[in-house]
Amino acid sequence: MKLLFAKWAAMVITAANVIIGTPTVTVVAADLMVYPTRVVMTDRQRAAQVDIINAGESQATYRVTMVRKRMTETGEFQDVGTPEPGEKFADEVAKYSPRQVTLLPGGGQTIRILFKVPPDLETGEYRSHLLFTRSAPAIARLPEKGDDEPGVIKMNIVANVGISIPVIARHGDLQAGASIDAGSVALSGEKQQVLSFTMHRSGTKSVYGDVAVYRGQEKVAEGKGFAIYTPNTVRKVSLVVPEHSRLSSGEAVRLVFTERDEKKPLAESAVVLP
Amino acid sequence: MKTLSKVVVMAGCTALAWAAGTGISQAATTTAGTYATVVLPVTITKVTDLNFGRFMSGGTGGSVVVDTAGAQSVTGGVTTTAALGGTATAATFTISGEPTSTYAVTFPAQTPLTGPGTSMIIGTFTMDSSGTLNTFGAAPETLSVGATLTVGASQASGAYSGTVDVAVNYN
Repeated sequence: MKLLFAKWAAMVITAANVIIGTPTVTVVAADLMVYPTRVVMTDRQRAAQVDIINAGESQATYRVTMVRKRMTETGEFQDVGTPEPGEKFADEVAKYSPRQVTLLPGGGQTIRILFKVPPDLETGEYRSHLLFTRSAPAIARLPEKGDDEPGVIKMNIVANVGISIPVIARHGDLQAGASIDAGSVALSGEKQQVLSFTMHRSGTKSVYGDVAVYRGQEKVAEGKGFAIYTPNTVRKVSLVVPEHSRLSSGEAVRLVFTERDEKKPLAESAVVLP
Repeated sequence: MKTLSKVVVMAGCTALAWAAGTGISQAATTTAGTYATVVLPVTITKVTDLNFGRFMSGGTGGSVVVDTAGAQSVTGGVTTTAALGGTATAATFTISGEPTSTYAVTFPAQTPLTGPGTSMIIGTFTMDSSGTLNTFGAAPETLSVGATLTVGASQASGAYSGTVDVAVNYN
């Protein structure tokens, strides 16, 4: 949690106000541990649990909400206003409890999640995100007497840092495939070299895993924890190439995408760098 | 049942002394889809403040934009000069986590700042990173955050306050 105090001094200059901003910010920790960082439930495995621990030094109250998020091609998240075709949300089929937890320092709590499968449920993957936010006090800071100078605008902005993890419920027999578009591979960046390419997803469920780039037997770059969620079919991936393994045009590399806890790659592509 | 190893994830701004093996002992019964990876705590630390700089409010409303490079621009009834705008800065945070792991930071669409006058709105957050945005580097990287402040016509003076809900999102 961060506190932003913006002090705005205003001087009257020929019937217009000059507002001077001199904010100071104090950062306060959210101090929440969450484990695991993603939950996948299926018809056979309809229960899950997430543990949270207050790692801070004071008692704190956390709210647990289930929110809908949409992922963009570059891996950013956006809030969902109106559902698009093909989007299915876990908040319609998953129940969880508790929804608010007050924890002493070092205290923990298990959040239990249940996948309720109604008889006529459409097959597919349902996804929402469990969001953990620290409840901010209703009044962050009481205005002090004599604090108000005439003509001055002050701002107190409390930034509340939360954590979200995906909750996925899969109904029916789902499959997914992935491929790496060899034609999309590009090198960029002078100071810090970045290798970018496009990955595609097919099928009825999302994929989640790690990407690695090999030059011969040497792993030159990697990216962990990439998801391509349904209904998305495309994700643009950018990997930082460390200084000691710089790549150059004309070199042959192998791009590999492996799902978490699997040995066999789901997608592989050999390319000569442009 | 997969082998469970310890996973510790933390969002916040206090780096804990952390060693592999610190974690939560799990009853290996009802856990679905857990991933046997060790994750370093995510830490976020503020470096610079968001500062909309100096400007003049006018008879009509407008807005002040600070981009991720800290450059100020104004629209509508709000006016400024190069000297006044020069004091604007983007907010910067140092963020670090498990190297090469993916993350995404989200900001609210808009946050009202309530006070003596009409509410002012902060919104349209923009973000840039010194590393690769959405991927943790081996070293901590700097996130620069810009935003847009909506200023009313002849905005009343006093203290305005509001809460901005920022979230670190896992894939």
